[in-house]
Amino acid sequence: MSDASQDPGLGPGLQRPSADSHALPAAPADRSSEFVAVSGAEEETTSATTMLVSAYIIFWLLLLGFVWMTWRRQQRLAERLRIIETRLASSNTGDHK
Amino acid sequence: MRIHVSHGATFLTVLSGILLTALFLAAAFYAPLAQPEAGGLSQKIFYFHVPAAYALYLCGAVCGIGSAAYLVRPTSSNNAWARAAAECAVIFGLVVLTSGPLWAKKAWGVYWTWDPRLTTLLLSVLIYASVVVLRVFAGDGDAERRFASALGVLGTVNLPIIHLSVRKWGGNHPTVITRGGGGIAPEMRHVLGLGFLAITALAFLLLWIRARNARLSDRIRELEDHLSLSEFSE
Repeated sequence: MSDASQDPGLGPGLQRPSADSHALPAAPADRSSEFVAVSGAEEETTSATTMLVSAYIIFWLLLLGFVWMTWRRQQRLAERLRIIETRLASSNTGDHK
Repeated sequence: MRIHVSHGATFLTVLSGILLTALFLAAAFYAPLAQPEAGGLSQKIFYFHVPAAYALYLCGAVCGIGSAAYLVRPTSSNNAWARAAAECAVIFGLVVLTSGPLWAKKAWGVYWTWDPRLTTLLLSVLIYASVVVLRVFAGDGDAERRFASALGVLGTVNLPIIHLSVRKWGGNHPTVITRGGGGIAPEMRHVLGLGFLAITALAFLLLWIRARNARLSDRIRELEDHLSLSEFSE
């Protein structure tokens, strides 16, 4: 069964979308390297400033959170080192007695 | 005894701080406003979103190499780099996965689509997150390290698939860096370049510090075991 609108390059059962459709391009070669405008509501429903500020806040929260976790781990390691030093010192003192 | 902070770490910390500050100032005041179709003001997320994705690739590559090296030669150093790189990959992956949808909401009208690039990137981040969770909760024996290393290699194998997904399978996500330069203004390219420098310096710093902590932790555990044995034998 042949279909006139079927593109031989796409494989069985696939059709290239019509020019006036809003469907995504079917083939990678049709991909735009630039942003494609979204058609839809006339009024702005999402503030770009809100998105931008939220993204930067999340970036800094993730980064600072990771730095804080690293600092805490380092503090725990320093504490374990201190305990080792204490045990070494006490075992050396015991040897000298 | 204090844990010594090397000159290299201090230098990277200062450099990262300066570059990050310069990046955010440049993004705010030097980079031009993008067209509304690209998200308008929210397009400025681009200047750390893209570098964070490449930092994810960098950390993923280090994790893959460290993991493969540990499977071949199980040393504390290889394990430390694999572990540190997985942790850093998760952080940069989370930056990409949170900043991208916020920008996409303005540019595409939706926070998320099951686009090939987004889906494969989510898969990689989930793999690295599972590596981290495994290392934290499943103990730190050789078997657990080997299992985590195998997962780390798997996560890295997925990285080229993320990069090539747009070219091979299409989808919403644009091909960012192309031979033609990506179709962005010169000022945007300058700020993006600064973003790559800043985030890469940050990635190196975080990798170095986490790997050093992991090696230190191993060494401390060896000393504790040695002390316990010697006290027991007494």
